[in-house]
Amino acid sequence: MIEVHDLSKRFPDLQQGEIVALDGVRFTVAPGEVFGLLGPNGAGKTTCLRILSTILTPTSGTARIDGRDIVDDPDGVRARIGFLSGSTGLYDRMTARETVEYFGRLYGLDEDRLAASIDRIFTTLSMNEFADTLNSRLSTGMRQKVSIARALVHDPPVLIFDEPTTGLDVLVARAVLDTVATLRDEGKCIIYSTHIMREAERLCDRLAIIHRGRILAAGSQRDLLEASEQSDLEEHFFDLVSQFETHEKQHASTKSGSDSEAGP
Amino acid sequence: MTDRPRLDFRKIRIVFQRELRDQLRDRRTLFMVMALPVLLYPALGIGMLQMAVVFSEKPRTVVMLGSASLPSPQLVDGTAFAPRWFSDPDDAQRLTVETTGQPDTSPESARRLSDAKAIHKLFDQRSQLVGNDDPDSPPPEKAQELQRLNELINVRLRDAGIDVLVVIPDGFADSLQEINRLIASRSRTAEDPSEYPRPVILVSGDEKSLIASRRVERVFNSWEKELLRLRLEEAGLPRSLPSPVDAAVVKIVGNTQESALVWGKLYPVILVLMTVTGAFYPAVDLAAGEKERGTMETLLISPAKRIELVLAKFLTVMVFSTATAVLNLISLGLTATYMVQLVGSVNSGADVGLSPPPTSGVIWLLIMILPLAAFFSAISLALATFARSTREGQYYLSPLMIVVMLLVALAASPGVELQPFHSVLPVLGPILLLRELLVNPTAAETLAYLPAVLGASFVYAGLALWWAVSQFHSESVLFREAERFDLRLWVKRLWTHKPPVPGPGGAITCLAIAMFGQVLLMQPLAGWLSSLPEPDRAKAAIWALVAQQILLFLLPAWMLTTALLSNISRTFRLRRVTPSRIALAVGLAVALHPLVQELMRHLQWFFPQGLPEGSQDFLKTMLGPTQPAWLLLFAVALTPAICEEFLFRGFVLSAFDRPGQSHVAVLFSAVAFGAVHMIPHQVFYATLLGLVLGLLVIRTGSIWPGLAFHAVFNGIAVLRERWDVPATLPAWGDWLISNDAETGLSYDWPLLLIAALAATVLLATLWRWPSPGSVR
Repeated sequence: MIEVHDLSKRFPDLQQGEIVALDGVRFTVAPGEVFGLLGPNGAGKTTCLRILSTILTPTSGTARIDGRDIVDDPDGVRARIGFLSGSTGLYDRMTARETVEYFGRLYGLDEDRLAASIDRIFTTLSMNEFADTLNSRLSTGMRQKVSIARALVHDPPVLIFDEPTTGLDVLVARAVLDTVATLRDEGKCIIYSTHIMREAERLCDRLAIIHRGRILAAGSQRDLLEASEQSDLEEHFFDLVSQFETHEKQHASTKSGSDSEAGP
Repeated sequence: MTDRPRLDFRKIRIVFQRELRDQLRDRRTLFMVMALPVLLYPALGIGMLQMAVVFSEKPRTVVMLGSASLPSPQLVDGTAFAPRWFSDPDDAQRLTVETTGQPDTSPESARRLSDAKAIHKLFDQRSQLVGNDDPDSPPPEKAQELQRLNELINVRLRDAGIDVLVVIPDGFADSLQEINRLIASRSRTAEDPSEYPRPVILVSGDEKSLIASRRVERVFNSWEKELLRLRLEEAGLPRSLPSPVDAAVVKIVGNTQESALVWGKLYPVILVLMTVTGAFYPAVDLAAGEKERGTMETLLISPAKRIELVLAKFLTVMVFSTATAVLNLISLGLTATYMVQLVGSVNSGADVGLSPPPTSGVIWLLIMILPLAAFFSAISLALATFARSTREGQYYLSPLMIVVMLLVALAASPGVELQPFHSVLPVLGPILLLRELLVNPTAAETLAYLPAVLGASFVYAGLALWWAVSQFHSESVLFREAERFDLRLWVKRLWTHKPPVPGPGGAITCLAIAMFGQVLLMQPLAGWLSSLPEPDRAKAAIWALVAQQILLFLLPAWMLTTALLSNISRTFRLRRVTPSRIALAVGLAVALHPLVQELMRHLQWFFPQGLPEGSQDFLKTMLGPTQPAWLLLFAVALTPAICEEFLFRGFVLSAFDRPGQSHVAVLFSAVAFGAVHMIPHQVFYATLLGLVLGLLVIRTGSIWPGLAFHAVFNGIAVLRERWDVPATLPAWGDWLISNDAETGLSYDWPLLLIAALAATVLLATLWRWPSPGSVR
């Protein structure tokens, strides 16, 4: 359902000249599966998911989503995904219902299907009591529900969640996680990025640990734990990251060492 | 991101409807667009009326001494000058006259009169002091005393509350009477009869008193004229003697036409200002606001293509721009008409009615809103997309406004008229056309400009929209983080990370140096040339031209390249080419030269009168046959070929050249090449050639064919001027070239046909050559 091939992304940067945000990332996600992208802030999770949702173009490599190429057919890709991030904004001067209707219409739903879809989603997420309130008057939790409804309105086969629980209280975060689990059970293909170990442990069938734009390890939770001596995902994560950093440091010092040897 | 070209108008409509509703729910937008115009003008109007009432002029005090010596006709009537001496009799109320002979004088008035007498004494002292000297430049020994007296009189006048003091000398009426008698009897006396004391009008230096004194002077003038006429009558001469010419000025303008002139000046300015304001605030909210609130990401992952989003937003902005303009115009029109009627009814009899513009004028007004609104909406949207936040967006309004106001001011200057070249300029064209249409909505010669003005305006709007769309496609613009700009870091990076070829920033720097350098050098250069003896001027000008080319074009590009870029040969495309490429360039120059000459000759009507005649003559002598040919070829053909090609087809072309977008680079470099030529018809000419040169350099991947083309093209122009045609033209050449004494050298159609064929073949060959690719 999602196949990512050697995705790389570089940004120009004033300080460092160039930032490598993604470096040869590859993975696949099957329907009915939640694939977790686990990594610290700035690891490249958001860049990766933005490329998959065609907001950014990759510097090299590509990905196919539900058979559509993100570079060759971005419109086709966007019609087949639902995207939700923790920082997604809402139009303040629209009501919850208007917001969802607007995006539903953009996805080309006819009015009957749209009404049915909204009815179903609003009931599932228990949004009916604030359906006609302006978004600006909603609480953070309510707003996130509106965003979820917006992402689900066209019933996409692929869902991309980019740290969707950022800034939410425990109750709402739990509701979001439950929703993701339900969606998985419905057979959706889901990518879920987070920096919170417990969410990944609870939700993800398979995981990739990403750091500095590179995938350090990938597999099911059991595979990952078996490969390491650690008993817990968080420890394993720290191990991987610190190994990577030591390796990088050594690499850098040997490189500069060989450079100076090569000098006159 | 590759968008397929098919647009989905359903999506555009959905986004447009949402944006429109969103804006209509925004109180700030509604206030700017709807409430402000509806309230502003009536409020301003009422304010002005009130000001007129509150600050209506108080009558000024004129104190007159010696009124008993006034001759008839009656100058003072009661406490004012007689109304007949004013062109508007109502003005008589603005001056109160206090004289000694008035029946019931108030205590203040009596005090003023006695003060006036004291001041008069001071003035007599001053007159004695001055004697026959000029009071404005008195001899040094008197200066101090005169200064003291002047100040004293001034202070006393002000303290006494006297704005104007008029002193009529004793026996003034008798003196006049005596002269009248002498004239009537045509008798001569030994004494000069005009030697008698004259009235004095004294006034302090403050502004209100000066205004009052001017009124008093006018009263005295008309009174004097009447005295003169009476004198003539008495002498048996015609009253009309002192005014033998008295030309009648008759203004043949109807009331509607006079109004149209007012509307023609007022409406275009309001129209431009309001389309900008009406576009800008919604644009900032729709683009920068969307980024700021984090909804941009949501919108970008919706199935709508970016071009569809931009179009929908553009339409929304345009609706608000148009609505703002329309509402402002209606409100302003109604307020102005009402106010004028009100003032007119108060000043009964005065014909100051301002009729509303004719219906056809209103229709034109509405039509011209569209191109202006489209242009400003697209520009505002592009600027607002570039901004990170609404605050940053609002900063961009001032520069935009300044540029727009400059264009408006230019349109208002009397020398700028509707004319082919002006009609295709942005903003200026619509304003000028509208001004003409409001005065005369059906004039055929004005209407002939309509397609050009509308066409050009929509082309500009299209370009601005294209810019906005490209902004929406740029990741660095859409996801600009709030990075802090660090000058030190930036400069350091310029030195440490040298890119191989320049970017747009470098190109703009070079172009700015070239443009401003030319403007700055113009004045000193002209001064220097005129200081030289006449025969040396032409030669000096030629060398100045060479120096200017090297200093302003070649040197900056070369220095920037060597200092900040790592690949000189790629930047300037110093690639070797086969002789066949050079030959093609030379052939193309030879073939295109007559075609371009003829084209420019036929397009002369299109451009405003370029240089003043003096400069044209100077150019003729400078480039004329008196100069040696080698010098002209060096200065006009070779130097520009090297300097201009290195800057425009080297540096600038590389700066904009990106893979797959070389046509954009060619267009930009051609327009820049045109722009530095300043004079309108040369701008056109250079842009045209810039396109060919750009194509030549892009297709061959080398600057040398461009250099060859440029040198040969200019070389032909130099030699053509010097070619003495009849002497050298063989008989068979008659049907190729004609040399008319009046129109000068021109090419005949067989030669043009051959040239056109050759140029087509060469351009087609050039077009088919595979391009070696971008410099990046």
